[in-house]
Amino acid sequence: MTELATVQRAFLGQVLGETVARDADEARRMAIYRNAYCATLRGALRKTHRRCAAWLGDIRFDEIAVAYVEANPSPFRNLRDYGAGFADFLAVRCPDDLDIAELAALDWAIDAVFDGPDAQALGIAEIGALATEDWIARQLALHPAASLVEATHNLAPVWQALEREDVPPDMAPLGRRATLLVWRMDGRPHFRTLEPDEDVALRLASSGADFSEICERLGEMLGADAAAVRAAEMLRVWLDEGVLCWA
Amino acid sequence: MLAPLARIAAPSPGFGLGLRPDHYGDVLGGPQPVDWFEVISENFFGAGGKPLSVLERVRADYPVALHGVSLSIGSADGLDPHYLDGLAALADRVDPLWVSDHLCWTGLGGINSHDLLPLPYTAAVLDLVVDHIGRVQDRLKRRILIENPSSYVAFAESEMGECDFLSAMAERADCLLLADINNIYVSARNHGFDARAYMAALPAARIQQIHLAGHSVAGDMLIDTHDSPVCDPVWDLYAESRGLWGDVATMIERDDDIPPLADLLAELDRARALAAVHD
Repeated sequence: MTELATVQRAFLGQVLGETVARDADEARRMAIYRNAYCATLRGALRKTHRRCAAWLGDIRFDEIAVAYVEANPSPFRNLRDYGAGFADFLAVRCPDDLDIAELAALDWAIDAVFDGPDAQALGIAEIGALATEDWIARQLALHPAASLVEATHNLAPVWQALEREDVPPDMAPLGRRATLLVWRMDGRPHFRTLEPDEDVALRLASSGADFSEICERLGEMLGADAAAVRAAEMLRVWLDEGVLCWA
Repeated sequence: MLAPLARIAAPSPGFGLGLRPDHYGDVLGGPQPVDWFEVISENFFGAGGKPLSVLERVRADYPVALHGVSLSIGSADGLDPHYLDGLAALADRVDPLWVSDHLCWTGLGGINSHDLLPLPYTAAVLDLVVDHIGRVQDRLKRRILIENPSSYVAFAESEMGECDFLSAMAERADCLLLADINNIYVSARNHGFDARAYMAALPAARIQQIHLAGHSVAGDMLIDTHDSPVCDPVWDLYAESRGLWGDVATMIERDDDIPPLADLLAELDRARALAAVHD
């Protein structure tokens, strides 16, 4: 290790709270860096999970954020990415209140979709430009700015109330494991809860299936006639919403 | 005042502001009395959606400078090639006035502090920083600007003062400087050096940009928080800078407790007025 690396390792150790200063003056000065580090990371978590913070209340959110910061030094160059594991952390820390982790995951996904990557979404024009036998056999993908979030609670009304800074309704269990689609349309984030058959279909699309494979799977679930109608319905919505790309 | 021919930095484009999301609506809503904007580079790396769309719309109407906080030019780990790729791609896309970052390191061993950490000012560190700047400039095919940091600790290992380090670095790396006058004021107070002597010793010909910002007070220390208006002593130093460094592009940098755009425009007008009096 070079001399500089040794100096920087020792300095970073104090910033991370792993080591302590050699004297009172150093402690006083290094505390500025230590406090800034903790405040910056806590602030980043709060910014990207602000509805979750409102749901939990400041004291409880900060307590959990402090624990996350202590356990998770940042490997990211961009502070914006720091909270990527926060929802999973909440699921482990609060296993009896999974609504908290689910709300955090939705918070994260909605902020991520806001400035997620640009890509040409499939629309009617892209599909119409190809012969039917060609486009139904072409591999699909979820738009890179879109994501799927699992939920067992009625997150949507709670999240929307918190976003408006209104008093949220109670968080009720859904009684099933549902999936929310989060996507960007007209530059703004949107989300909606998927019906079970659309959940299956969109997960297939996101894993690279083509439309004929999706129809085949829906056929197994709904029967051939109903599947054809339902697949056409879903495709129209997906094209309108811009949630798909070619893989 | 420097004779124009002695200047290595490009002519000043005037008075700018750091572009922050709170002001996107105002900036896109109509012309603002701002000559150029500075954006935080990392906020637009690999991004899409509204932020990139806003940047492109702003760039259509104003010159834009890229200001980074994660280059980590002084890290013992060396430069991150992926970071450089992102910065180069953004610079290609934006065609910025210039690209700047700080004389600091931000992390080590894959851990990022998200802070601008101070360096020991030794000959060995100078060699390393000069080498890193050269690599960045080769990659970006342009001179970059390096900003003087604010700091709260000094290293026993240091063999020279920050100002001497910056001067030697700029000369050897053939780079430019971003002089943050608030940082000079903050560090001068925290370390007990003379801010005016520091400013007078900087290589004026290489100063391309000035940052003006606010700070907070914590006991006998000043903290570079960028969450308040520029204070009077910093304005006084800015006025003196015009005599020392000439007409240098000047910007108000606000990162927290963001006020209405009008407040920052008023601060920018104060900079313009001081510049006019002291030119």
